[in-house]
Amino acid sequence: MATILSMPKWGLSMKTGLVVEWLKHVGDGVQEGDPIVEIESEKATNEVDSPTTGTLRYIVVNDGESAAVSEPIAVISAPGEELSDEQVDALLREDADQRRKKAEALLRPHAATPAGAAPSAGASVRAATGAGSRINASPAARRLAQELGVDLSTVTGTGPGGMIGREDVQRAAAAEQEATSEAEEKTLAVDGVNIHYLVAGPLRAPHVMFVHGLGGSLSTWSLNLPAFAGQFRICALDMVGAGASDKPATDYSIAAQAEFLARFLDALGPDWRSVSLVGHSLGGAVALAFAQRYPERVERLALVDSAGLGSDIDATVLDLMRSEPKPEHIRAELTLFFAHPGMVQEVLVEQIRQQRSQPGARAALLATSEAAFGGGRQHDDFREMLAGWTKPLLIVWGDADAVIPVAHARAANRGRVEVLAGCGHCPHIERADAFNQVMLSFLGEGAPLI
Amino acid sequence: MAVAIRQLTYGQAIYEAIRLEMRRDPRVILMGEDVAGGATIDHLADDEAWGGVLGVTKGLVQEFGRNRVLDTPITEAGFIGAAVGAATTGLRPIAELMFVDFFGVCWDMIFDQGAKLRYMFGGKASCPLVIRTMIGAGMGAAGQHSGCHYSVFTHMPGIKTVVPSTPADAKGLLTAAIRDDDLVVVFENKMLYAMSGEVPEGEHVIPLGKADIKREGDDVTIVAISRMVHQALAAAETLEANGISAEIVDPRTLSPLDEETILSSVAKTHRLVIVDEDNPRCSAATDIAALVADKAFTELDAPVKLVTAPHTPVPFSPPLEQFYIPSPERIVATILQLMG
Repeated sequence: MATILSMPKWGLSMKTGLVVEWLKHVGDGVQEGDPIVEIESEKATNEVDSPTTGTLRYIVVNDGESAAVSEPIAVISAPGEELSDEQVDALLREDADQRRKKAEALLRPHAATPAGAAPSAGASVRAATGAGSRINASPAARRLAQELGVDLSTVTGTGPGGMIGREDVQRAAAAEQEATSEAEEKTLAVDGVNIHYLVAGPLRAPHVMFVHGLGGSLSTWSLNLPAFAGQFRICALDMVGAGASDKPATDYSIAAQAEFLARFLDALGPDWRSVSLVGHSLGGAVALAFAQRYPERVERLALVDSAGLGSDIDATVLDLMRSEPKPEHIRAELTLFFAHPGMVQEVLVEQIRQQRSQPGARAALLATSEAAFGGGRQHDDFREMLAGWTKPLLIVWGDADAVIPVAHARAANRGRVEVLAGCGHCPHIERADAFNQVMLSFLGEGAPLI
Repeated sequence: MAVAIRQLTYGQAIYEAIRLEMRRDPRVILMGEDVAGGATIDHLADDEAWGGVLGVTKGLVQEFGRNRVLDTPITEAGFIGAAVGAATTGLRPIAELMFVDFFGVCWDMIFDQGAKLRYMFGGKASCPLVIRTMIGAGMGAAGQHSGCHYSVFTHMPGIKTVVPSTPADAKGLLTAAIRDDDLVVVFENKMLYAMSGEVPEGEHVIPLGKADIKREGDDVTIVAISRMVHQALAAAETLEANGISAEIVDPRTLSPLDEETILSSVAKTHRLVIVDEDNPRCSAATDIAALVADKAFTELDAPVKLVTAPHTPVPFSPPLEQFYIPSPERIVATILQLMG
């Protein structure tokens, strides 16, 4: 069965991609996982791996040409499969027909997927249905799939003999709807503590958890999450005691927060059993503590201006955080967070003031700060643990970080280190595009195209 | 008008339908082998009348007399032919063909005469004849007294075929059959005669061509014919315990067939199993399967399955006879497989 390779979709905003260069020529054999083409989007340039083993039979979009997301860019024939030019044409026509029908179904008011939703974020590889094996689906499933715009080649059958039935199509449509829907903000009770979190992205994609730092909330990632939601199943939470989550009087030590993170992941479901972790500042130390306790649950570890890699931390920032949440204190605190004073917007100041004025917020912040940084120095050091860390590790730092010195980035002497110039303690905000590109390339290494 | 509900057997319900229609319409007569029994033999007392081999019509000769309740010779070609003639010339006979397996003897009278008259005379002739006949295996009556064969009659244009499964349906459908102006064959399952059920008193007419949902369900439609309705009901109990909700459609008449009810049910459940005691080739079951494949193809979420007798005559050996009849266990096994 031949495979149609389509233009991938990286990030919620990607509409088209440019074929920079084909790494294989027509007639070349390709192995599954081999880089086959280099694609450039507005945000990143990446190599796309061949989804299958066979022969590059036909190139639809040549070097230097662009195509819309999900449009075919090449046809790969299966090993030993002979395809005439007419058969290739027929395959591409059928593919175009399927995409047209799917688009129509998406635009119909009663379709399961809301009108105007982004086209499928996944499905950059589709099994061609016309050139060989026939999909085993019931007549009712076929009709429903057409009505809902579900591609049967992506559906797993659970009926007799593995036949795809209506319920399988309904399940796939629901999954696709969730996968392509806008990000959802939800609340989940973990050990009686309500945790506010945001989840987005394709269900079957690699799962990535974002953990914010001291005095922050999931909104710290607002410039980053959209860039990841197209390619990864992402979740960002307000840690216990922060943001819109409950703020009980409890143990706020880094170890306790890591344990709480584990229970939160358990509560999210089995898909979140193992994840990649992105942690900022104190959140980096929480991620490290989690990785120390549950190494088997961590796929990739990304630390951003992270705590836990040395004892230094700026005492002035801590003092300002611990003080009454007044605008002038927050403004002064934020000034120390960023390299560029222009980043300290009054909107941001007000947002943080409101968050920290909630009942219990200040007590939780004080308890967290005291447990991790009491006496103006960091108590938890994970460098020894990182020395034995063998899984992928990325350490990102702003070169002008005034809170935790950039020297800590290399102190671990492990992993890939990216120091971003011209930014302070929050490179993910101050240089969001550069940060996203670095993080995408790290998280996407070896990740299957979905 | 309030209608009292009381219990009658299937046999009593048939008797009641005949008696009420004979009282209502003097053109209705009853004829067949032993339908009056001893009552027509001069030296035997009227109250010892046999009323057919299973006594279903016992008592009618006393009420309606020998001119309207006629014992016939053991010559099906003769008395069925006479019944076709009587129907065509103004009477509304009910003729009893003792066992359906005997239809071969009188088949010409049924399908080549009675069934075709209205058509061949351009609507100027009609044949308002009811043939009552016994069907079904399970009594150890062997290969020549145990078949179903309603599929053969359903195949022929001009014959209406009725397959009641309950006492109430037997009364209502037989009444409608007697009032119908065409040749109607009513297939009475001998295993059901002793079965009791609620039967409305007084006039009770069920229009021919109207199926009945004997049990509502969501996951699979079982179209079950005649006694198979009860096998399906038993199967549905087991399925319910397995979390599968079965809907049971009793077509009640095979010609005309209530396509609408069957198709609507399949549109709801998306799965169809047909349970039929008749032989499986060119049968009512295959006919209904073809109907659904044609008109509800895109509703189907699984292949249509048939649970029928095998393509053999009914065996005399009691264990083999039980094996021959579709059982609740076979229905359950088929549906479990279908649900994947």
